Amino acid sequence: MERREFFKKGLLASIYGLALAAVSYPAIVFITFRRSSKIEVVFEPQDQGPDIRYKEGVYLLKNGDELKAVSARCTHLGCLVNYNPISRRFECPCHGSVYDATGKRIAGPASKDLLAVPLNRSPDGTITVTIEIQA
Amino acid sequence: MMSTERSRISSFFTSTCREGGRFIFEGHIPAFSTVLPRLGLAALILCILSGVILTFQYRPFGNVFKNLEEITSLIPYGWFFRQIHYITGQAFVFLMLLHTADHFIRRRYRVYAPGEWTNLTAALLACFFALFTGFILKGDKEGLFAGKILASILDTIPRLGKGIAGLLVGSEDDFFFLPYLHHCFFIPLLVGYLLKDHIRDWLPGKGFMAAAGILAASYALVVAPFIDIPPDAPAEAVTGPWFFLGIQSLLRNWPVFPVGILLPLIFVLLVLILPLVSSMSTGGSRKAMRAYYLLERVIYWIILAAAFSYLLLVLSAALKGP
Ligand code: HEM
Ligand code: FES
Repeated sequence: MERREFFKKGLLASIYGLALAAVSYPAIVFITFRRSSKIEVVFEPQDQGPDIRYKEGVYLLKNGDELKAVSARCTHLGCLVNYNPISRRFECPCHGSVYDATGKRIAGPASKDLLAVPLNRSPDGTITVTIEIQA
Repeated sequence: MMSTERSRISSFFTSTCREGGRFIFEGHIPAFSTVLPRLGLAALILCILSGVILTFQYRPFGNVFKNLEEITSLIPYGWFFRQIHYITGQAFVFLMLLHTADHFIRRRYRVYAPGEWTNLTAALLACFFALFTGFILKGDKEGLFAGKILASILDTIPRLGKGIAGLLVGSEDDFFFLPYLHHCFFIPLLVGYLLKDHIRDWLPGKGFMAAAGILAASYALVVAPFIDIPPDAPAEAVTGPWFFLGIQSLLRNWPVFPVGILLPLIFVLLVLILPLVSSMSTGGSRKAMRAYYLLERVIYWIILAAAFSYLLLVLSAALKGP
């Protein structure tokens, strides 16, 4: 009798458990689905300059003829870094990470360099930078 | 003669101390214990009312910062409702925290079943989440960064991190929509559900409502609104909400997962198991009872010490900058 009771309860619990999983699995997959998308930041010729330029989360770095774009997202926890023209460094206002003028990490809790992002120079002089965002 | 005089003085002294003690501990503290939560409830009601008013002009899409600037400086009385909402929200959570501390220090967790205690703890956490999402909704530099930092901290949870972070904030264009939904809809519902058996009377009484209303309105009329930093303006230091300052300063030197996830999680787990351990110290063999009693005491003091150290950390970060 005791044992039958026990099995009955166990069976009921498994059925409930399965039903709950069957309902919640699609719900969780639905809720957590993320599209990855791309943002384009366009630097018109007048947005460009001999030094470091900022637009919409991207720094355009010009070193002589060499052109490079880095994401302004701090690699620690994602605040946007400021460029300090006096020390010629990128400084994060949140927990004090510091990067040099090429985006290389120098100090602070961040462990990686600023992320280099691909750029595209078109004949009319505009520079398009593509950044990927995973939501 | 001398000796009776002295004994009379000493008996006067001891009885005064006794009466004074009785006044403080039996008269005063219960007043403190009943006034605080009722004032907090009145603040919550004003907070929800002002929040509902704000939603008619607040838009979680597009340029949220500009929208809030308009609410503050263009739309009539917008500044007033923002200030009322801000101060009643802070007051509500702060009073709830004091109320919790008051009962916790007197070891009142012993009177709760573990399930009910879990609900109360979850409600308090949800209230802090309401403050956090409210902070994000400002749409200024601080709010934006706070949202990004929260998502990045959650990201460090193995396997589940990305999914959980995605439940709280959106990506670029719809960044504010999920915090908005949580703040105005899910959290208030959740808090109401979790506290449904705890709060016997949801209306705190006219006196408390009037007191809370007068205090909040005086704050709104006397204190100037904070000046929010535009998201694009460079700022030397960006700080999070007050209760997060301690974690923010720890994050300068310590790895993210232990500081942002593990320690808070351990703290909450210790709080949750306390009534369970305490209930075990009332049954079983003498030896087991003693062991559980000792364990309860140890956990109790660890929680108090941790809370107090965190308070000091927040205060020092608030005074010196994180
Ligand atoms: C659980 C209770 C609530 C708390 C503790 C709370 C707290 C806060 C806080 C601290 C802010 C930031 C204000 C600032 O710094 O300027 C805020 C913003 C906001 N809240 Fe709430 N809130 C609560 C409930 C609600 C509800 C129920 C609604 C609407 C139905 C609402 C709507 C808003 C809106 C639209 C904002 C953005 C406007 C602004 O920043 O001034 N809140 N809230
Ligand atoms: S987010 Fe930049 S230092 Fe933490």
